[in-house]
Amino acid sequence: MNDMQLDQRVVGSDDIKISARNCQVFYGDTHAIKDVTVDIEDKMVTAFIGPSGCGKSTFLRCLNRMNDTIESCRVEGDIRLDGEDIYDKRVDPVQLRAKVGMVFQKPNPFPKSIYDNVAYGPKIHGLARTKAELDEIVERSLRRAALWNEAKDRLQEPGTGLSGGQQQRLCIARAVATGPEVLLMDEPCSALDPIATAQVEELIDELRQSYSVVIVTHSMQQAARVSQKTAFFHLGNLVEFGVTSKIFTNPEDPRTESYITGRIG
Amino acid sequence: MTALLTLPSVLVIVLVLAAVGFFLGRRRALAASGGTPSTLHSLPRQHGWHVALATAVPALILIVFWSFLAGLVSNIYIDAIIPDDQPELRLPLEQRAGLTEREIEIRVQGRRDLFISNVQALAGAIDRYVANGNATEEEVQRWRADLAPLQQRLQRDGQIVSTAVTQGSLNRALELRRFNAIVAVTGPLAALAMAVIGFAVSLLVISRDFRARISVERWTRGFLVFASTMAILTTIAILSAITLPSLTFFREYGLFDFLTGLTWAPAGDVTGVPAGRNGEYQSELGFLPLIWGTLYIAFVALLVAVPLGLLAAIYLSEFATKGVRAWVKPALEILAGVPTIVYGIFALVTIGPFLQAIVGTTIMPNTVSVMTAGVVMGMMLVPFVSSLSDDVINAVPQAMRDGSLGLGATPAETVTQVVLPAALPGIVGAIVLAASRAIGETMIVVLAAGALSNVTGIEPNPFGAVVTVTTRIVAVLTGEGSGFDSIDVLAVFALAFTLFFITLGLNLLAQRMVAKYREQYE
Ligand SMILES: Nc1ncnc2c1ncn2[C@@H]1O[C@H](COP(=O)(O)OP(=O)(O)OP(=O)(O)O)[C@@H](O)[C@H]1O
Ligand SMILES: [Mg+2]
Repeated sequence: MNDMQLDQRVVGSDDIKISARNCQVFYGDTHAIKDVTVDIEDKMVTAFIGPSGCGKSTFLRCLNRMNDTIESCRVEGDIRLDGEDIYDKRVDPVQLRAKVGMVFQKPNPFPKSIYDNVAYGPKIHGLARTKAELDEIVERSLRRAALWNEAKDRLQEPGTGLSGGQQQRLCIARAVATGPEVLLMDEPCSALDPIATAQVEELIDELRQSYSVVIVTHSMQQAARVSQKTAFFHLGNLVEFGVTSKIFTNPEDPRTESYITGRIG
Repeated sequence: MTALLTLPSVLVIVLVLAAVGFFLGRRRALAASGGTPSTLHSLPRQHGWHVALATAVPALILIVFWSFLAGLVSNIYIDAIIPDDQPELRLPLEQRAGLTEREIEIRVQGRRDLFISNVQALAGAIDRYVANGNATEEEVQRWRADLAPLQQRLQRDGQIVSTAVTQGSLNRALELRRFNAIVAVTGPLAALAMAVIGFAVSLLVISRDFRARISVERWTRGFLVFASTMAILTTIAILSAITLPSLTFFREYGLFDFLTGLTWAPAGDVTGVPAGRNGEYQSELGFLPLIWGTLYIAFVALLVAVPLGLLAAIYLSEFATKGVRAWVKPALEILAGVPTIVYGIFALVTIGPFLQAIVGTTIMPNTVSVMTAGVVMGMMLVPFVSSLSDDVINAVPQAMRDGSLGLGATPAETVTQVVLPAALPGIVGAIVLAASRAIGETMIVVLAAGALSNVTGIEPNPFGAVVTVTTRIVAVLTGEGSGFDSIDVLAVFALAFTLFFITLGLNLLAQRMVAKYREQYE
């Protein structure tokens, strides 16, 4: 892997966490993802970029089988997590999603208290044996999502009462609390102000120490700042995939170049 | 001439006049333009419409109001012409014994109300008697109460006259009829006059610059506003129709006695009345047994309907595949359309005997019982609950489910911990609506809860027969011997009145809950 020599920030990890081979996604007759092959590495941030409607969210949702909930959606090809086919009949999507967490494009807090929102995952998976442990998980997760200071005095208030940006951070805290191995984030900062964005980016950088993170973003700067690998999607095709710095400075495909310079999108 | 002055015929005349007005208006507008329609402010067609609307709308509105108000005016009139010393109002001495001044006053007021409804019933009976061609108007004016057995004569013609006709009531009835005859003509006459004025004025104002288009817009808007207020007016009309008799009843029988009475035994009822009770004031009209029976059955019904309906809704909206949904949902909706009488028959011939066979005849002497009616009513409500809850559950955003599933929750955990709590206010609203339907339901309880039983008190046994609000209304109104002026019938109005407010309250509550819930996700 000679990509690695180009990026100094990558510290000796060439384990493939998720590998997708010839992945196709159909919504009824619409062919939304066309023959995408990509490797997502462990302890690294991978960014998906591309114009609106090109299939970034669709592909992201393939990685934890969230597309199962859409009746018209059909996934073909081979996607493996740690070498195991996640679309195999024996794989329980529920367990898979516990390992591959997700933050959605639109904040979707449950109509419960802030505390219960964060404690939801840990409770379901039995991660805490005592109330104190649960409290600790909640606090740690809220801190990591840069929401603790704002929320610590109102933990029992409904999560839906937070502002849009706070809700999004609550959803991040909720996803982190479950302790996933991979975190999929679909435009996590689209509703955040610059300060909160910086905090979330810091969090992503920190998460990279232990997890693999995939982030969809419309901000080139953000992709450049937080990711080590970048994938450029266009009309359902994976046009180019490689080390972030290379994609942004020296793209191979003319479509990538026009997108990052703002000519298509 | 007077034959033409009825509301229906005036209605036809007004509409014809409006149609004629349309064509005349168009012609006049064309004439005013001097052959070049483009010089007009509005199109000739709009001028035509303006004339038609100005003719028809005020007259139509007047006709509608008149149909409402005529009855009211006549009520006020009859009250005004009966003097306080009307002999029929006097309370016999033996009934005065031991009563306070106030109690006598209340009883006299009661007699007055009763007398008024007697007079009104009599006037109506005479109207129909004449309309059936049994007597001419002149003959009727010469009638005397003491000369011919009037009551029997009217009854032979099929009219309901439950109390003996006295000279006093006959006089008042004739007076009332004369007044009603005048009222009946004035309304149509006024409507006709209005139509003609509208017709003439709107034709006269037509000129090159007249802005008919704008006027038409205004008329149309006015008419639409009127049409939508009609729905509200209907409710008010229903309310006023039951309010006055109910108030009369409350005054006569006593609101407190009604609300706290433990026995329901109307004197005019076919069953359940001990022998020797035939005086009008001896009916025992306590509300508690009825509301007890009603709520008892509604409770059993909800016990059946809520779990089944809710589970069906959860299955349909969260677990069923498209194919299953496409079959089950319409099937449930068809079930909701089955007439309640069919459910009633089912209860009577199938569920009743079935329950009796299980629990035995000692506990369940009759096939009609709270359980029989409740279980079947519950079945009737299942599609109602499930379709309402299904809507509510579907309104929970998919993002909520995705959020939960994305954290590794199972579909069952997602439903119980996220979807249902989110949908709860709406579901409770659906249950309240179902309760309101259960309380107002008539046919099933008439057939399956013991409409003709001789229960008069509160029956705690779920396998025993009960009396309910709706069955008692049916029993009194269809029972023999009760004219529309007895205390029993007045009590029925009070029942309807109470029922109206209970269901209204429940519906308002449900609506508020569902609205609040929808707000949450807007
Ligand atoms: N549930 C669905 N049913 C049918 N078609 C869908 C569905 N979701 C997405 N699509 C289609 O799939 C294509 C890819 O959509 P997707 O949401 O993945 O785009 P995206 O890259 O995430 O866009 P954005 O940046 O706007 O979020 C689009 O053409 C969209 O219309
Ligand atoms: Mg998207």
